[in-house]
Amino acid sequence: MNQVRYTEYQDTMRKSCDYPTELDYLNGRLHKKIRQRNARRFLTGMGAFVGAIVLFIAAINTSTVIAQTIERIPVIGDLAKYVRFDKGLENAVKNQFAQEVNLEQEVNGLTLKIPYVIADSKQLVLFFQLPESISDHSDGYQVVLSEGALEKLDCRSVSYRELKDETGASLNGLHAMMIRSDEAAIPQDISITVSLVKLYSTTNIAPVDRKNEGEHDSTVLASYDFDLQLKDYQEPVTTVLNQEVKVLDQTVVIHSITEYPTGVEIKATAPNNDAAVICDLQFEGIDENGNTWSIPEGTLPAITYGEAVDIIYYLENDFFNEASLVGLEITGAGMFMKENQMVTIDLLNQTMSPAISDLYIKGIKRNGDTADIIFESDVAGWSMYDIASTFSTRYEDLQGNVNHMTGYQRASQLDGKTQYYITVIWPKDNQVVLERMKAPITVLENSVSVLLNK
Amino acid sequence: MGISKRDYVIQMEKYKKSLYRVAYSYMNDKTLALDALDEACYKGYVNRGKLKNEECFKTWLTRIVVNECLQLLRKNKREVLTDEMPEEAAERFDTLPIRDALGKLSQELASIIYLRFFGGYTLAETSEILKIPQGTVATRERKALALLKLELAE
Repeated sequence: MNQVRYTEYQDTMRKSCDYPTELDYLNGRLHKKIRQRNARRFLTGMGAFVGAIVLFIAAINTSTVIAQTIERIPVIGDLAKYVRFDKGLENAVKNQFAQEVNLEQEVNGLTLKIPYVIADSKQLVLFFQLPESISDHSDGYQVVLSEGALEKLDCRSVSYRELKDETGASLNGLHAMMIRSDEAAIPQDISITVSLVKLYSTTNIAPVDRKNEGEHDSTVLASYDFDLQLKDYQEPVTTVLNQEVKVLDQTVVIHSITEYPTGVEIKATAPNNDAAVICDLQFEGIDENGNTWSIPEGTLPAITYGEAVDIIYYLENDFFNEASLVGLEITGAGMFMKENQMVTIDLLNQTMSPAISDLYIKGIKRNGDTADIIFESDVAGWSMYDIASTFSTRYEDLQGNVNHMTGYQRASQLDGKTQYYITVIWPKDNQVVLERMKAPITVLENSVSVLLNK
Repeated sequence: MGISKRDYVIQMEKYKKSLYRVAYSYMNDKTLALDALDEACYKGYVNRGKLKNEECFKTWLTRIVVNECLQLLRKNKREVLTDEMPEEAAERFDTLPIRDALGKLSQELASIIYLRFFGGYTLAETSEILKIPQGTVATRERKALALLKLELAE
């Protein structure tokens, strides 16, 4: 063997053994990937979920809601009253933080517009004006981000809603998509691909009925490319706490809070031990003027189950006000016992093992190769948003074969009862194992205070 | 059957250096090797319920890494054909004759060298990862070395 080349061979061997520092963070990247993919699966389910809620409300209010036609896109100043579901966004708009971008593209005869965006380094809110031809029944349609866009945005979570005016009438097809990034900042100069999707027939009635099951499949109508150029972000303010507090006899660590122009991110860790799993916390933020700030309606925490349970919350805020947050109050927590985390559903006998006190099977229907499972709960205060993420989208059969719920996870509320629907593949042995992610919030007798020593 | 999340992470951490060496030997680039390793570990995690015998974890995950590398190489090959000027491609190979020599081997012979010499796997483990008989591994190894010597001697 040629000596020079032999040395080169050794050099290559050396390089292959010269481990990069990134190898030390393999586990961290794995969990980040898991979170990201879960966020994507959640997005898929959430689309139909939001649609289902909209349809359900429409179904019970049909006689009282009078559709109002609005001839134009709301002016930017009016946006504040349409984003009242999130005071952080409302305050951002009031403080001229929304940007007018006026982007539009026509594909397949359908023009999709992005008139406005709100952006900081953590959150990007895209306002979509759906095509005129569908604007009067736009609740059956949704815009979804492509896989590539989710990657570029380092997406942790996406939520979506149709915007309505004070009377509950549609705003001529104006929808909002709220995207939160994981670790990376939202890029200021970014090209994204989105698709306009028809969720299912708008003639469908409340999901409780489920007669029109076959009409729930989504259809992509058109894909669009938009180039966004966002203004410079204001620097967020991070306060590191690493403060331990006792919640339902478990030690919870509040790691940090970061105040962004559109909201506050709170990072906490709860134990995932052999006894109990804290899976949810209810927070309020308190500012210097004594104002309280809550978690925006419909916002779900990002939860990662590992050796501990990592929980990330977002609170509303008023970043532009001089009164900054001085404290957090933990007013409630969700917890389940470890032995109840993996729940086996017997599809034939319609039983659940172990039984969960706050959730029971309302019905199971075979639909070809799949099973539609309807859960019901009469726990007061357990909203449609809360119940819809009770189980992980990942599930197994008794042989350990892993599957993921695709399509829709939906929820509805009627007569004080909340129903939650999932669809799984019907396995040969008629049993599926679901992994519990959430439990109803238990209000704490004495709230737990966390002071922010800035 | 299968492996718990916790045990999966423990085993993955235990073997990550071997896995990285294999990924690097295929990809010959730190970033690409880490990309392949990250994706393979994620796929392994998602499919950990399919692992039939926990004792086979190392070879099972290595096989996933190898498959991921081959998939990435196929994808990158297409990108090189469209994006890279031929002169630049030739220059890059000139600077790495050992890669050039390995690159002239067929994929099935190169895989043996990557696993046996770069990864440090035994004949039995290599046989398990590539799903071929041990005798075939030994034959291919002899053939690959003979060819490499020929290339290196030029």
